[in-house]
Amino acid sequence: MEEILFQAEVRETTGKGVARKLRQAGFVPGILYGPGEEPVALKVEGKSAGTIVRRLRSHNIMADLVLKGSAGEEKIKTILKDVQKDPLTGALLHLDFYRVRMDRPVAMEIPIQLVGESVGVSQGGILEQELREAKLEALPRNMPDRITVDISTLGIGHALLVKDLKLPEGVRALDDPERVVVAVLAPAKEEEAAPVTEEVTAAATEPEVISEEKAEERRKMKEEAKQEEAKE
Amino acid sequence: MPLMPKRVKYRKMQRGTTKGKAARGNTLFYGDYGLQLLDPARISSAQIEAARVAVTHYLKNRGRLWVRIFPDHPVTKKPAESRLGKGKGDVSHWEAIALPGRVLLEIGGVEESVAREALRLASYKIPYRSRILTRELT
Repeated sequence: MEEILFQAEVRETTGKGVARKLRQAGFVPGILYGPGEEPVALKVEGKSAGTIVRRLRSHNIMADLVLKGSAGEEKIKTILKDVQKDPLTGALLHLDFYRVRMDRPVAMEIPIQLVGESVGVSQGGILEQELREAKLEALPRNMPDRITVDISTLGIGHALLVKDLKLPEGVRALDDPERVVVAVLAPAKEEEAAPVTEEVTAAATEPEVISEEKAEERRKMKEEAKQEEAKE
Repeated sequence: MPLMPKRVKYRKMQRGTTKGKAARGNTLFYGDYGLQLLDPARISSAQIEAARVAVTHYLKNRGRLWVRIFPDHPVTKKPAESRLGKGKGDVSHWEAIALPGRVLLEIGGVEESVAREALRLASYKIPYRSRILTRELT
C-alpha cells in the first residue's frame, strides 16, 4: 500500500464562518477522532489534500497525518473516514480522519476491482456490479488496498457472492456472505405493452389521499356517537 | 399512466423553494454513467418519461437504466377564463423538485460511447442544464 500523507495543523476555532474563511485561505477544515481520545479540530493544507483526494479510487483509505500542534510535529496513522465535496465544483469541504491503533483490527470499505472479460457478457448478458466496496475487518497492516475479482468464468445468470471473494489471510468480510457482488443478467426482452383498460386509467390518474380517508373516518365516528347519544 | 405517487397525505401542496445544492443523491450509485443536474429544477412527470423513453429507445434492450428522481409534488392549475377566487385549482400534473448536483438518470452495462449518446439524447428532454458523470473505475 502506497504511503499517503496529509499535512494538518490543530485549529482552536470552530463553526461555519471559521470553516468558510479557512477554505478561502486555502485550507480544508477537518477532524481527527478515535477510540479513547478527544476529537481534535484540524485545518488541512488544501492544495496537496485536493491532489491526493482526486487520485483516490476509494474514499476509505489508510493515510498518515502530519499534525502540527503546540507540542510540535506528530505523525499519526489514520483512516480517511469521510470526504465531503461540493457536488458541482468537486471542491473539498471537510475531511474526517479516524485514529487507528496498529494492534487492533479496523473496519474499512475496500474497493472491488473486476478483472477479465466475462463469458456471459460476450454472449450478450449485462454485467451488473451490485457491490463496489466490500466492508472488511483486519489489522491495519494486513488491510488490502483493493480486492480483485476474476469474472472470466461468469456466465449468464451466474453471480459471485461475498463468500466467494478471495481475501488475504487475516482479513474478514463484514458484509452478508450471501450478498451478490457481481452478476451477469440475461439481456432484457422486448416489453409488450399490456392493453390498458379505461377503468384502471381512471382510477390511476389520482392518488389515494390519506388525510381525506382520516377525515371521513372521523366524520363517521362523530355521526355514530351522535346517534348513540340520541338513543340514550 | 403518468408517474405519480400511489398515496399522498394531502391532495394539494404549496410550491416550496429550490434553493441550495443537492445534499443527497448527488453521486453515481447504481450505474457507471449518469446525468447530473446543474440548475435548480422542477421536472414534470412527462419530462422524466420523455427522457426515459429517449434512453430506452437508444439502448434497445442493452444495458440498464435507473431513474433517480420521482415526481411527488402536485401542481395545480385553474381552468382557462375563470375568475379569481373559488379556491385553489385542481391538480394538473406532478413534478420532481431537484437541486443542482442531483443525479437524474444512471446507465450501466453498456460501453461509454453508447451511454454518453443515450444521456445526451435524454438531456434534451430535461429543460435545464445538465452534465454527464462517469464513474472513475478502480
